[in-house]
Amino acid sequence: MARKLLLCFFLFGNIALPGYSQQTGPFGNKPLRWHLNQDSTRWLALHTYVQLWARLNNNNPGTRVFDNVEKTTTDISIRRFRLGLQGQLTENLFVYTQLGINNLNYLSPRGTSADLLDAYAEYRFSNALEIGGGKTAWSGLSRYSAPNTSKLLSYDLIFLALPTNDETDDLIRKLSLYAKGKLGRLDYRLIMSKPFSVQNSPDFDPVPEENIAKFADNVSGRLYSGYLKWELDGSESNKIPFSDGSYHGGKSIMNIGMGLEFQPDALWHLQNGDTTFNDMLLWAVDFFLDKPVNKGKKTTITLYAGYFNYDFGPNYTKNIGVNNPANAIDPAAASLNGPGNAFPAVGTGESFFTQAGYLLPPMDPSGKLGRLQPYFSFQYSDFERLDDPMVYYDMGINWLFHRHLSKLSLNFQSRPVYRVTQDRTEVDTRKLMVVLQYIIRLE
Amino acid sequence: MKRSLTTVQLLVFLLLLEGVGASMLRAQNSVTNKPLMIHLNEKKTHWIRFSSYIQLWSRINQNNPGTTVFGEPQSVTSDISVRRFRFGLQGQPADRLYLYFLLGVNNLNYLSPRGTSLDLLDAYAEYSFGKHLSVGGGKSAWAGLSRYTSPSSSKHMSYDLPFVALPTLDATDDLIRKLSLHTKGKIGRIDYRFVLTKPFSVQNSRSFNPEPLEGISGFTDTRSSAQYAGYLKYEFWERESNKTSYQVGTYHGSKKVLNLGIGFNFQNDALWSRRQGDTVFHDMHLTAVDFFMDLPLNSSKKTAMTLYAAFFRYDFGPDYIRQIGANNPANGVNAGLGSFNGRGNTFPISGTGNSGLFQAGYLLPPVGKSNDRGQLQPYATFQLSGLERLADPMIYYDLGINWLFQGHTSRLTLNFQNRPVFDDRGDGLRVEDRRLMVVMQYQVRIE
Repeated sequence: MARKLLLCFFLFGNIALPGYSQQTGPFGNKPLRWHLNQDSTRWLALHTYVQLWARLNNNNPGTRVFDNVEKTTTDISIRRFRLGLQGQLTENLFVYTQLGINNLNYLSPRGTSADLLDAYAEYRFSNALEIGGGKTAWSGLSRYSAPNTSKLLSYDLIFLALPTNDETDDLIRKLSLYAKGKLGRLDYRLIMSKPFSVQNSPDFDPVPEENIAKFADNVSGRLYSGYLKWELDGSESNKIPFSDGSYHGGKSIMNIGMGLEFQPDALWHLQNGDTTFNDMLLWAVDFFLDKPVNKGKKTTITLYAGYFNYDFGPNYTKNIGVNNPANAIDPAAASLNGPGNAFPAVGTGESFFTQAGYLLPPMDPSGKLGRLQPYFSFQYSDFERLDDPMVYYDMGINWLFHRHLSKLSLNFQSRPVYRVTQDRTEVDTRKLMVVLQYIIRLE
Repeated sequence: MKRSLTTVQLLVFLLLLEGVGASMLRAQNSVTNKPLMIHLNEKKTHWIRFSSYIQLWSRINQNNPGTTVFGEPQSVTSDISVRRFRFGLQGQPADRLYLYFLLGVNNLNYLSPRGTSLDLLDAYAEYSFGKHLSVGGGKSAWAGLSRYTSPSSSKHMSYDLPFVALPTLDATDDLIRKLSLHTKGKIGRIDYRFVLTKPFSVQNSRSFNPEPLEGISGFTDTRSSAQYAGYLKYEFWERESNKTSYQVGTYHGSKKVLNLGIGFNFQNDALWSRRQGDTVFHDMHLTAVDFFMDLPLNSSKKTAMTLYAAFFRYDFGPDYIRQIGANNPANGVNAGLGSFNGRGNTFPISGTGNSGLFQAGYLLPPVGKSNDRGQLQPYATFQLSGLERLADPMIYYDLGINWLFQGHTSRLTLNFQNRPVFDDRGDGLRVEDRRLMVVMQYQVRIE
């Protein structure tokens, strides 16, 4: 990476380098792409982005910041920072490297290092078959199991679609071998991963519990996943693993997909005191539509719907507290959710997720004021562990100054808080999180 | 059609070689290289720009009394270290939009762990409504209080920063960066900046003490509150850039600048102590006024004079004191043999009380007859502080000389620092001794 950066550096030193791209893109700018040959079939491309958050969170019951009780936390944070370099070194060889940081907030230690998120190489045999390997976000299961985090419809990811986040992967990346390709209208990806050791996960608990499954690390397994997508209308790029959330009218896309993820003996629990292993078997079907509505007004509708059937073993649930603004809890006042903004987003059971957005016409004729795009997300989950269904929703609006490259989002999220009583795990109350996010991306 | 990978590698290697070769040739004769800037549009109003620099230290330090390195007493330590490494990217992707990303490392020395990773120092974006108003947010060094509270560490006149101007260093910030929203602008001759910060948790600070002390104030997280800061300067002569937060130490005669500035930094209930056993909270209330002059003297001889003077009035609550051992060459103190200062090169630099800081430098004519041997610039820094905790005034000074091969972009500095060692022998904390640190720094910067 360092050498590549250095190399890039010297390329940049040569401002008049003939290979520098001459096309213009967003902002009326040339893309950050340097051609390495005359035919422009070989190139290096640079991208970087930052997602800044200003937030107000109603904390879960019993939340503390270190020793201090906090009912509401307001903060400023860096949700994501990325710096990536891609290279098409020959007509058949592609490499992708990316450094990044997630969740640099006021609770972060002094000195947060930029980590190596992606580093993989890929060889192309034909459109029908490309194989690759390395540390990568290539994964199966569903459309947004490999999400393009800076090009989403909503302010943040669909965590339901990232069931092994932090358990067997590193910020959704895995050490994998994969194959992908397009056969007519069929877009496929198949992945085999060596899971990251669960013992390094922040959720790791070395002791199995009676009738509640947890990730185990005493069986070294492999993770298999795949996703098939039938492109009914239009065709999406499969150059990188990440799926876009909306094309803002630039494309008319409709597809249906299905996928699965499987790891034998990935979890364990105690059954009447005996240790029992559980396979992780997850599958999903989904539907995506991104369609220009009125060409003159440039309006666009975006729709996503997915059904997720997850079996992690008995009563598994996973609490996710994104960029958590709190770090401790008073055990006496605690809910099932845990501290801050966490809630059970993933678990054994069935889930339905839907997301829709509508891109309004430009706010002024010149387009300088940008465009508004209201959206909502809704998740309904019937998890084995919970007696009440888990329902959460986001309502938000994007102000697109330059499509995904300069975008302000205001999002309201309502999440349930679960109380564990003698015989029931039920919804006690609901809490709110309001996030104002600004994304700036160069590419 | 199919060219092998080696051809590409060769091509890339040649480009690289060409880049290095060309840069070296240019560096020999011309003063400035082409900037590492890529124009993104035809009008050249949109661009990205890279910058990188490194500061290398070779040092001899007379350690504070009782200093140890992993338990072994050491009265003098000599070492080689990387004081700072930076790699940055700035961009103006649209007319009113600006972003600044910076990765960096400080104090990579012989005591550092194996494998020192590159940290994200700055990542912020800014929108300009005009010259009079820009708003921005993210992790940045935008701060108020005084000129060198947002110092350009590679364009400073002295070998290192004036730490009295960085009162919350490591307490509520991360290498002087904070998570904040800021506004800035220029209205006539007034240059202003205001900053609203969510402080980094004090509990992750190296100097954090979980219990309040009797009569001695310390930072706490118990009452979470925002930090407010601002700085106004009046520019009498030429205007300075406010594109980035960082303020330059000297322009080497290329600019005639005279400023008067005033600033503050405030945080409610930021500190606590005990008073007869009861916990009491203290606001952090810091104010400063400063004066900066950078005056070209003789244009044919290329001489110039730089002057900086600042007065800091700090209230952190009773007896608060902040010690700093920059790039500390030692990591322990022998129990019973130590002083108030602690280990290595540490000394009390700021705290509740008043401080005066003075810095002056003189840029001499070019060395030799040909124009390619650079210029010498002797300088001096002097700080006098009356700190509540100390019975004697704290006086430290630096004497140094810069050999500027190419302005700030290639320069060698030799600095002698004299610091006090405080200890309490029954009549309060008094100066018991003075110690010396000699640093030879080489800095190279590309931008």
